[in-house]
Amino acid sequence: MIEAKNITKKFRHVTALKRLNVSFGENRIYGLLGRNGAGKSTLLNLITNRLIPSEGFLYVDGMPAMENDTALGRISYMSEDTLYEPSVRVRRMFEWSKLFNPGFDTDYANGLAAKFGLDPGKKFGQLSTGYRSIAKLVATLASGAEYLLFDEPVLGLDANHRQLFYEELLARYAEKPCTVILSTHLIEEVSALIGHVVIIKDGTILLDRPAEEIQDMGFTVSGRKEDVLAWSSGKNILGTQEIGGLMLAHILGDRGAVPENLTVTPLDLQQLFIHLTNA
Amino acid sequence: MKLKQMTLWQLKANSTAFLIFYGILLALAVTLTIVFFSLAGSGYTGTFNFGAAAIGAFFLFVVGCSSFSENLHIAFANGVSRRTHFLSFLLLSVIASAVTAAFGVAVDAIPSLSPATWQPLFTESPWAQFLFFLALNMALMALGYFIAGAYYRMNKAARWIVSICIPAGLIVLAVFTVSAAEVPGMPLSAFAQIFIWMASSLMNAALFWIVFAALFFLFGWLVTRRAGVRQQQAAA
Amino acid sequence: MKLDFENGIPIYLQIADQIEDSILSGVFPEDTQVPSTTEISTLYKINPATVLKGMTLLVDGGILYKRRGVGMFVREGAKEKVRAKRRRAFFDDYVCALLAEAKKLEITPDEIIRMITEGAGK
Repeated sequence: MIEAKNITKKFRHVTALKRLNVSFGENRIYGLLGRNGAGKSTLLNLITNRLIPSEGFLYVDGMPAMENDTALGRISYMSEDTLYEPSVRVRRMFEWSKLFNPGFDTDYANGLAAKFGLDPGKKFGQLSTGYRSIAKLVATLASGAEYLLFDEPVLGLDANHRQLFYEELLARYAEKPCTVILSTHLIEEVSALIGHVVIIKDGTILLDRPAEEIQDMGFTVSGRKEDVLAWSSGKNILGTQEIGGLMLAHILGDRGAVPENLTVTPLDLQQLFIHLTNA
Repeated sequence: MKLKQMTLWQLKANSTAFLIFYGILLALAVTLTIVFFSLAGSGYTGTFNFGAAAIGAFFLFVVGCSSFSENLHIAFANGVSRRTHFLSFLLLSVIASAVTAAFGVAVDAIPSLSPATWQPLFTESPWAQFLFFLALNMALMALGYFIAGAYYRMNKAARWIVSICIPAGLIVLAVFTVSAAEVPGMPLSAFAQIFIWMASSLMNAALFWIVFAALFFLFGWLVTRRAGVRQQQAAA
Repeated sequence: MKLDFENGIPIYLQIADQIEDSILSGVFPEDTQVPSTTEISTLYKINPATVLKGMTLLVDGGILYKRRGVGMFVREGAKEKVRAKRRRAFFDDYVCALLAEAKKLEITPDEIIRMITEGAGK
């Protein structure tokens, strides 16, 4: 389990995270969602010791994570920034990963690279954005670590490669139990994949729920404007839309009984996310 | 602790540069020695010194500078703590300094193989030379690392200020110290005395540089211990 | 097998339904193995836990059974069970919905019966 307790992170001009508390338990696929600048990458960088928290503590499997080689060795983090110099060949990155982490499966990495059409002989500087992402995500999938963290893994990937990534991720997940944290903007693509949803907003956790509960969290009613307003007054309305005399109201909470003159549709994860983070 | 792996990485990452450097140095030393001695045969007198050890010291300063950013990022990428990264750099420094000092001193001794007239730079024993250059190398590696680290941590404004003021300040200091050396009682004459003491023997100088090295390794650690990842992309 | 992520029906229920459909149509004969949790989750990009939940539902309903170390198999008599279950649900799922829609369009029950007879005759 990865635990973040009362984490605060201040940069020169901004406080990115404010007394944030979250934990990522074993053998689950987490979706870490948030708008640009919400604090997702900062949180992941803190967990992996790439940034030092201003306040608070981080634990991996009960051990303090900060400056702890053993704890950090259990995590493989595919970050948005590329930490390898442009002159480094992908093959060399695999070798180094193996050096630092004996559990790294080089054959699997090479096989995976071939599936994606990545040439391990290429240097990082020669790769396109998409192929840089591919090189990094292959390294993380092949790492053999217990915690796989992905920050925007499919950045720049075409549709075919995105699908391939999700398939390979699930195959890897099935083969050896691990905890996956997927931080992404492509909510619709991953909504069926993830078992647990964590939403960050303005540096704190807005929502932390199993994915199956998301469907019941909110709904949309539509119908004549007067009918909708009448029925939805007093309820937790996240937002409304109007087209002519027709109104849609997005509501958070229990459905209860909905009258015949109104139509109810469920709020999927992406819509729920947009409405919750719009405020 | 991933110390062994990180140190191995440091050695591997630098090995090509070192081999090329040693190779060039050796080639130059041999060539110049041959040239000198063929000239000496025709009545040409003078002193010849290659200064391989001195060049080595400067080379290690550059190695120190290049040992901060990329190495720190490799540590981050592979779950290695800053402490382990710094300790591995220390180990690298000791090994690299010792090997380069030994190599430098040995190469500088090449001209002495010939019976022709030749003035060595140092009058003291090779062992003393080795210790001196070991200390100097470590000091320069620490200094290079610290400078690279300090620049990594600083923001743009600080970098400009430091880049202008520190060299300017050092020049002023040097001028005052030199003039103070002649005149006792001047404010910096005590400071100048240290340099005079240092220049009087290689062992004194070695001692000075060891203290210098220790100090700057400490500064280097201070600049490392809370270094964060810089949100930069590799060339697109 | 087609999954609809928009219609509000929990995915695990949809998976259970789809497997039942396949049993009913004979795609998964009795006493044969059905695709594994991993295969289904990888193919449709769904969380394996969700797939497992759907399959567990069928195990509890006596449609599937688990053979340790091998996988999930179709129970004997599952086809009949599914048919019986669907027959019972037919009234709620189809007939009531038909009547509700007809009411909206002001179609009388007699008209509906006439339409059904006509449709059955084709």
